[in-house]
Amino acid sequence: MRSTQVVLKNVALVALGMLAAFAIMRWLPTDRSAQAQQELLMPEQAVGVVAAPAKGRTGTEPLSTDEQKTAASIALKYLGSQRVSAKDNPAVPADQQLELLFAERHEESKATYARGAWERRADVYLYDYRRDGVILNVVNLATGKIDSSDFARGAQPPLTQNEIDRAVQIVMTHPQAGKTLSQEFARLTGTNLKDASQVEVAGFIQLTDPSSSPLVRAASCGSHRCAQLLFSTPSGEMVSITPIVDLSTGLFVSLNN
Amino acid sequence: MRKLRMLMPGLLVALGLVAVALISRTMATPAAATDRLPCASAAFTINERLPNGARWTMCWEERFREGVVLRSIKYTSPAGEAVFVLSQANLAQIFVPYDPGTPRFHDLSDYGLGDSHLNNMTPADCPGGVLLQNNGRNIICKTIVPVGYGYKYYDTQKQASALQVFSVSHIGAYNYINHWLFYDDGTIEPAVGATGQLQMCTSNPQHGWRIDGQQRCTLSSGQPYGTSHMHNYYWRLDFDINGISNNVVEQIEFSGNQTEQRQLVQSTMLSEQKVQVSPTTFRSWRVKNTAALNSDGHQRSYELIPDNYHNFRNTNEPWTQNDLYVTQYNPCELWATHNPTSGGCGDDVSDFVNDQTITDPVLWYGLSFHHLTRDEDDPYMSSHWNSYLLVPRDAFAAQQR
Repeated sequence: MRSTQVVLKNVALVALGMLAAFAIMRWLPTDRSAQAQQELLMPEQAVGVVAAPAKGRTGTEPLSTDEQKTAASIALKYLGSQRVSAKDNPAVPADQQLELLFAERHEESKATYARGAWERRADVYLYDYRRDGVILNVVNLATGKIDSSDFARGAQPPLTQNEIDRAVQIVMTHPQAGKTLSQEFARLTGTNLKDASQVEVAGFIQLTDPSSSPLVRAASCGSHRCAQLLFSTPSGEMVSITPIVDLSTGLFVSLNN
Repeated sequence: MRKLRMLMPGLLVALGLVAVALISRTMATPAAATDRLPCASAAFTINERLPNGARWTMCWEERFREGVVLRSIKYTSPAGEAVFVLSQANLAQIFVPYDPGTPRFHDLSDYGLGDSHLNNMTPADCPGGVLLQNNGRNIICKTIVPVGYGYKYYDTQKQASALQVFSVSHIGAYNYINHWLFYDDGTIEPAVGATGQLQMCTSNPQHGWRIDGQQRCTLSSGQPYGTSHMHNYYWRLDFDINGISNNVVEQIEFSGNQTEQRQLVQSTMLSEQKVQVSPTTFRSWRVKNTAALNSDGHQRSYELIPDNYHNFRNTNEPWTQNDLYVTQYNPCELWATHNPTSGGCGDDVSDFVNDQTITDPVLWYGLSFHHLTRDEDDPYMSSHWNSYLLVPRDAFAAQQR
């Protein structure tokens, strides 16, 4: 082999090595989180891409749908085994006396987070219309057991669709409010309001605050579970009433507060 | 054989290069407590390298009331110097009182920004970005956006960029964009964009603005006015500069209003405080780590620079009396209003300030916007933005760009 040929081949080998090293530095990620990272597209791309869903859940990652279901069923089973002396609330349908609100990951303390590892736990919120208060069950998903179960009055987590539906019924069947809603709906849409499914509804919890109206105060909203409803037509016209109802008593509270 | 021996030098150098590259990529640096992310999967990890070489790392979580919560937020400079900034950052209330006195909505606690109220975004919502999903719904859009000059001096210039992270919550007729910009120089800009459709109309001209011809406001009697109202946004910012220990809050302002000179006044907040913004004295606040120094020997800190142009105050609503609340971390202090009291915590952020000594500060910042409606709010309101800044102050010994 001629010496220039040897030099050239050596140079070629070094170049190949450099290329391989560059490829490693460029594409081999430094750590697990970087490895998991989704490469961002160039801004000129018109639309984004959807990243792959999580396979399992750990740490502060939110509960999966399965975890929510498991937690709720553990909580309901536990509550079913508890004896509650309170009578059913006559204003509430039998199947809604104990209303399952939602389940989300239990927020651990900062001290726990600092330790670096903790069990998967769920907060399962239920509203107990028999006693007018919130039951908060902390469900340990690792053990399948209830870590704690507390009952508290005064806290009012957001409404479920069941509760919003019931609030709409209270408005529709109230002589004055029902009439106003029907008249407004007919005026805006040219059709009669026969069924709750014809209107768009958003339902907010209503509490008694220092600025609350005397009607809301009188209804003890906060101690009771009250809903304020916002209506609009399917084509987006606003119905200019903001009725408040008391879901604990099944009574109408006010039309325009 | 001889041929191979002659090629040995090149082969060895090549193999050496590959080995060095492999080792440098696989050797993990030992992790401190705040280095360990509390999330593992790519779906809940945001770990983005910006064009200047800086990196932002954090976890996100969907929660029922707060919507999206960001955790373990860390900035790593282009040179690889990391500063842990916040253990947790999230919206802590959206309080929307209407000018006639009612209604008064507490959107976050009483309706919830999360779950079905979080918009399931489509790829069109997230140009050039990546949508992160939870339970089959696209909740977060993350993308890198250009933000113009990072700096400019004579013919020297640098185009800067930022990591943009946002989600959208549908509340009544409103859509709130919960928006965070993480700039390549370490600055954070939390923001809320308000868009959607008008919620309320009135026939009372004192409490609105005449908006004829809008489909949304078709009143049965009187002339239509879009009801004016406030959006009061509150954030809960759990700072842990360089870790949980040695964090101290300091107020920075300048005396000398109505005079030629201005004098710097710094005061340390040893116990819990509530304060208003003060545009005439340029008041701001910073959280510093008294034990973590940059290479110039200065204490690393992040400064909250407010941007309040409307102030909403109502004697009956004590949380509206101040704009910044500094509290000692307490796990049951979650929201600025309608906070759950069952754990022994106060009902609103003004109750959280009760003279506790601060060893682990949480900052609660409120930003208000009085929405005077206009004809152009139909059919959809143009996104209206409110934001403020969390700026590194001596977190590094020099500009990071």
